[in-house]
Amino acid sequence: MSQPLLQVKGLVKRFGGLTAVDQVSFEVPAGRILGVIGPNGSGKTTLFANVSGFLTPNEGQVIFDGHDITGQRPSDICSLGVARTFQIVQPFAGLSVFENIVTGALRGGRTGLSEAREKAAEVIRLCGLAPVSDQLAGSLPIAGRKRLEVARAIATRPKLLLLDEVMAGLRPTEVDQAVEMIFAIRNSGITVILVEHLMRAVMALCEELLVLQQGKLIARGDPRTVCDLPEVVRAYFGESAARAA
Amino acid sequence: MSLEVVFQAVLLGLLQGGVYALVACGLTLIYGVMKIVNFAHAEFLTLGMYLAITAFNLGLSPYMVAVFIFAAVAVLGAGLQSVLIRPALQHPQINQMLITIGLSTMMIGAMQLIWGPNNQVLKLEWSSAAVEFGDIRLTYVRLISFGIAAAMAAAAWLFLKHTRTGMAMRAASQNPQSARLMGIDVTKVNMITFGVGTGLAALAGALIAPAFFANPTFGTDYFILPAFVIVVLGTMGNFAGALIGGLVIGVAEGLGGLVFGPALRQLVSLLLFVVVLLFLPRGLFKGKVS
Amino acid sequence: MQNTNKSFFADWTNWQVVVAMGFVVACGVGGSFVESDYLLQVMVLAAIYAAIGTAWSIAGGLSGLLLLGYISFFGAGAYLDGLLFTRLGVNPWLCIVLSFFSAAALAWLISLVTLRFGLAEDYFAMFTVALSQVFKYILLNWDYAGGATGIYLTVVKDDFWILSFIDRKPYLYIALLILAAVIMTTYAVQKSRMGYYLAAVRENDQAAEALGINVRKVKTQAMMLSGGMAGSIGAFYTQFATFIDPKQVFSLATNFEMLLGPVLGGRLSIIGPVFGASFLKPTQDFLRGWMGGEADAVYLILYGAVLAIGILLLPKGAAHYVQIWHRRRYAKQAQARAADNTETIAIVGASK
Repeated sequence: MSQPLLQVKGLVKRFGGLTAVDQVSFEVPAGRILGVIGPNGSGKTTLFANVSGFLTPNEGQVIFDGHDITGQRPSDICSLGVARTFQIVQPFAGLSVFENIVTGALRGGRTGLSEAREKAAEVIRLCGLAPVSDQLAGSLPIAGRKRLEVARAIATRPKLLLLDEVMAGLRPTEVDQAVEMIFAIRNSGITVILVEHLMRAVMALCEELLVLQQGKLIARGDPRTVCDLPEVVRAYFGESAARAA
Repeated sequence: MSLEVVFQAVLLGLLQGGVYALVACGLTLIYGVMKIVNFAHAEFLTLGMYLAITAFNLGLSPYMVAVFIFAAVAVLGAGLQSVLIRPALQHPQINQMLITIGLSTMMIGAMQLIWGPNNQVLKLEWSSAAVEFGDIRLTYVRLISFGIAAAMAAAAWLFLKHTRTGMAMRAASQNPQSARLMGIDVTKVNMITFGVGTGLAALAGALIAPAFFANPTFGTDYFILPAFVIVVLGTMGNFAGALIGGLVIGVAEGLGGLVFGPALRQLVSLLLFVVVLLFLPRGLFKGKVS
Repeated sequence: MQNTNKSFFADWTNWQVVVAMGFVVACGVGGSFVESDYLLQVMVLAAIYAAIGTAWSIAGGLSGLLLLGYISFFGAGAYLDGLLFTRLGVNPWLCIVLSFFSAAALAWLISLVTLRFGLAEDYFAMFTVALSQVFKYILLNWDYAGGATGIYLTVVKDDFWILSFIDRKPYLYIALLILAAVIMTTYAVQKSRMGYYLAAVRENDQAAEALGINVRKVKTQAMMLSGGMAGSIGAFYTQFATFIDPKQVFSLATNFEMLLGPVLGGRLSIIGPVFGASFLKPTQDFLRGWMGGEADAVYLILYGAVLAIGILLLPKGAAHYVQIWHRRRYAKQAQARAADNTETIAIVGASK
């Protein structure tokens, strides 16, 4: 089997005296849906930021699709095929939904404008955003904005999609729709890594889980197994819960 | 160039620097809490000068009324903030900057209207009297200005550190949202900050009135640039930085004037500004806000 | 969803460019009937300010850069023409072109230095302002460039080749031509991929970066385009004014006056800077002329008040309201389009 799509080796990120990510290593084969879970402050979003280029690791390497992307500019990393969403959605509020997605579809110049418009129309159809296509992104409710954020990211035709707590703030029906959409995305050939708190979604979607605590990778494997591990229970619920488990 | 000439330049620079520091402190305070660059700051200094001159013409010594001028202009500043600046706090930065520029123009016009465009002067009988030792000559006027400036700066510093309002100002400068959640009335704090900041500039104006000719654009012509340099050097928002920065710039300008000649003193400030912005944009105090 | 069914005018940018160009043509035609030198002078200056404001709007409006000290580019172009023409006899038309590239190079340098150090917005603004004054002071003390006296051009007769005329009218036509060029450039930018990049960088540069847009490169390009155009306009100005000095072409007051048009008019639009400057600059000139002397103080108060209150009342500029009207006017077409989009999994969540 060929090289994994993403390899993270010994990643360390420090902020002053605080080590936010501590010697994290893992691999992601193409086509997988990988989940990253852990209590608040365990370094999940920091990990994403390091992989997508928004932060530069202090130590370690990030290898994507055979390229060493450690510490590169986010826009260059995106050109190689990594797309991400943000924990707090970042729409282009003053632009319409359509314009937002076209911006993504332009892929930093690798796609021409008319082709980008066609691609955007296609993505809008796939993501169910057609009714609001001309609406200003800033006027959408949270679910719409999250959907837009994902649509915009996949318009860049990525190989890898990083979703940062995309379920936060969604109602149960919306969560179900999001799960469906993420499966559809993976089935279209995009590898997905999601940082998520919502266990229902994690269990439904993920084929593999990474568990972080205080920056360290404390467990890894199949979701059902991982969630029963005492270390994981301890991380979330404390010592007494772990003993009860 | 004798050592004493250099020493004189340095001392004069320090005295001047004290006044600069006062102006810069006001500017940095406003930036620190409200995150806006007050382009009208120099006009408050000029206003202070004019008020001192008017008081003098009524028989009052500028040093006696200095504190009252501070208070009066502080109230004016607070009022202007409520009317012109508060409504724009959510607007893009360029709007806020241009509003303060509009305010600056209005104030210049108003001062020109009230006091006329010609130079005004405040001549104290003893303005030439000085302390002398060796070849070094420091006028009393400058020494007293420095003294009062230092006292007011110390008072402001203590105010920030030890009073509730002062601490509210510091909290708001670090994180207005958290401050609001903690029950601090950020709107009121902004108003007070602007008032205090502009009051300090006016106070500085009152102190230097005996030493310079006043005209409506005096502040903009001579003080705004050093003030900006100091604020950036001392880290925007850092009060102590502005104090120290003021002294540093005062001395730098003094020495620069000695080396390059008086015409180029402004250029020294400007170049320092450009250099500081590029290489020390966080200022000497590495981004720490008071 | 494909906007192929829309009429040309339903697109706000298209509508604007037609209106703006129509206005330019109208001014050209109208100007040909004007005989008063004073009036022509006012019109040329208005056209220059309109061009400057529109050029600024690419960097300062569309890409959202806090380009506060824009006059540096204008003044640099003005002096380049002044020096090259009077000292070295270089053809002014060529100077206009050279000024574009020189000013663009200056912009590139500024970007290199400021963006590399990751200068925050307000620092960047102050830096550009300070730079303009540095230029002023250097030129005030540079004898070859005339120092405080400045540079004078002597105009002997109407000579198109060296862009010198006794008559004011040719200057007006050229100024309007320059304005038209700036408008078309801005239009082209807004319609192109660059337009999307600028909007993205302006709205949210982190998100833009995550979509593969090299934010630093885009900001630099925007600055170079805006700066370059200002340089050309400055070069033209020297030919028109026949006299420049550092206090004039690097004046901080003029600098802010130049921003009035786009900011009050609407810096994201094309019609904003054009109509904004076309209205404000002549009004200013007339008022100042009328009120001058003793009433200069009153003029200053009025001017400052209009600026401050104008910005408070119209934070997005006047063009914003025109855009709202435009959207409503063409909304019926948009509704018809939305009804076509039925082949969707319409699970977008409640839009309330």
